[in-house]
Amino acid sequence: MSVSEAVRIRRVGTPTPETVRERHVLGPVCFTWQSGAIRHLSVDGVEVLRGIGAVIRDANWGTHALHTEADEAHSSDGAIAFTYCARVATDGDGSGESPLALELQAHIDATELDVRLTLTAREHFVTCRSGLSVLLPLAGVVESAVAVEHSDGLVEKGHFPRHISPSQPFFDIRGLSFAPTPERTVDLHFEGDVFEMEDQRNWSDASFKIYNRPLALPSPYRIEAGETVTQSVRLRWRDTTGAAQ
Amino acid sequence: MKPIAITPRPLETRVPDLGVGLWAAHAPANDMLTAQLDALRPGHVDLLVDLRVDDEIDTLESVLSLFRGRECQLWLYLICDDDAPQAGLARLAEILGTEAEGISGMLLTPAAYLNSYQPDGDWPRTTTPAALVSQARRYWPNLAIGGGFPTYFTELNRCRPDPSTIDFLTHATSPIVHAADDVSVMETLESLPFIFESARAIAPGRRYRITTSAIGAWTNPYGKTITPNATLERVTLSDNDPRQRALFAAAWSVGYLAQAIGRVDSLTLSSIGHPFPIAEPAARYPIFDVLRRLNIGTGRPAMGVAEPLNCLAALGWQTEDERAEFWLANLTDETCVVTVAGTRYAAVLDEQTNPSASALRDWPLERLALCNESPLTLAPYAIARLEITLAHST
Repeated sequence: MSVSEAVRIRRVGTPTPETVRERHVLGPVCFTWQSGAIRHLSVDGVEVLRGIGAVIRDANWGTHALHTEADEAHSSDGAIAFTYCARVATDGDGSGESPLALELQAHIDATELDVRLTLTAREHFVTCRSGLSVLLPLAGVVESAVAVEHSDGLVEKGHFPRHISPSQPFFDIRGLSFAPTPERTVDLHFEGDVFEMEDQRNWSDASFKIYNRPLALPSPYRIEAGETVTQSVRLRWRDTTGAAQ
Repeated sequence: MKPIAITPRPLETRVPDLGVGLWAAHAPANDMLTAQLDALRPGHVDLLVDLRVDDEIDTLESVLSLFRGRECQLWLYLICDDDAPQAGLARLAEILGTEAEGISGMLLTPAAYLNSYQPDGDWPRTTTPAALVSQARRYWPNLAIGGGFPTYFTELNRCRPDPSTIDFLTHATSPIVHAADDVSVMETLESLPFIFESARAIAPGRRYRITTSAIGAWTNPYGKTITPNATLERVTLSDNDPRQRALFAAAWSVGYLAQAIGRVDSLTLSSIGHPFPIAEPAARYPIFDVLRRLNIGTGRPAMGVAEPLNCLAALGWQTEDERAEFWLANLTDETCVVTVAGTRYAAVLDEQTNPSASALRDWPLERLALCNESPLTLAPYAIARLEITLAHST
């Protein structure tokens, strides 16, 4: 249903519509796709992922607007493959030369989601952080047990904090497993950079965020002209009601 | 559309104190300020004053005289010089006197602490917030002195006061630090109970005040500037968020209060004048009408709902035996239909409400219409005020 500008202004104070949230259902799996991000992924009605997408920060931690160049979805055999291409806008209308191009590919079926991000610097690009950002929901996650696999393969067992952690709850994350309900386990696997977790409830975000590039490293940093950055995240959910796995 | 059935129920708590913010740097002229205070009737005003700026101290003096005889508490949130805070405090002591009559409490923040620091980062070596608490105690031995920050929970969480030295704990929140799309902003309400519980744990037993919070951000602790946003887009860390003018902010504020009931002692939402205005000279924003009416609930026995709701906010208070005022806000951009047990009368503020209803005598939320328990349609971000009868037993 199209909404008049006057009504939109009454609702949200601006005539600018937001980009469309596409709702998708794959058997027990529901999610929305919006501007190159998967959001609100639930399995059998239980949210397992608040969101995943590319976040490109500028040299002052501001978030770059992205200008979409392609946004496609192909369904086949109970799976959907998304391809999203965009470029970083360094001017208001995005008409100028862009220093950074990104391509995000997401493939999802009834058991897993794979997201791969490729960044290509056309000229040197200064950023505080550029990469994939994963948001985990709060319900079923706060206080739940979590196993964190570090880059040396060692596994740390802990819990998502109940009281909001002033610093990062987990560092050096290659993999992560938790159970939002007793019946279901979620496994995440990260490639392409060192990831760590922030308790975003500090800023009233309703999520734990897992992001690339440790905050302890210098920022901003440079992606050199011609350089390509590739990162990927795989998210699997498995039914753990039965004894066998 | 199948209506969502809602059953109001009394809670074992009261509606917290409700008030509004005011920035000395942006205070409207006295006649406008008086007109808004008279219409809004807030329980308190949180006044932010930068003691490094002479004009702001002048404004503080004029606000003080305007508040004389007014049934409205005044809380001071003061920004102090990092190297030499004494001059500003001495000046303030001349104005307030030792008894600080007319002031309910104050928080003092060194200017450098308006920026955020990583827990293991390079913290300022100048005056600390704790040092300002002890200085203020010498000037005003009988005044409530606070700990915390006029900025966000993060800053408090990373620089916690010694609870034994403070009389109250305070901070604000802003939902547009990281993401500014409509869904993300509304979802921030989900995090508030965790913030409230975590803050309480920092200073158990101390009075807990959420100071001026709104959809915008009045300062950016994490970067050099806030986002100017002259074109009114949805952007992060801006003091000019378009939704402040719209139903969205009103619905978000109802959601904020619903989460705050039973969890905080005092809540301050939006401001008179910049940065989170509730009106402009030519028009009143929906949030004005909502805050004005919610202020009436302060201190009353609170109401909640029996069932979990995820697209609606609900709250209320008992007005007399077997009667209650009950509120609903649609937190989504999709219309929903509800039935509320015990409803007798209803008033709705939504996109059909005449936007030119800015005359101070015309308040759409006061126009209750007979509704009984018939289904109530809530357009996107609509707000409903109901008069309900409480069931004795079920």
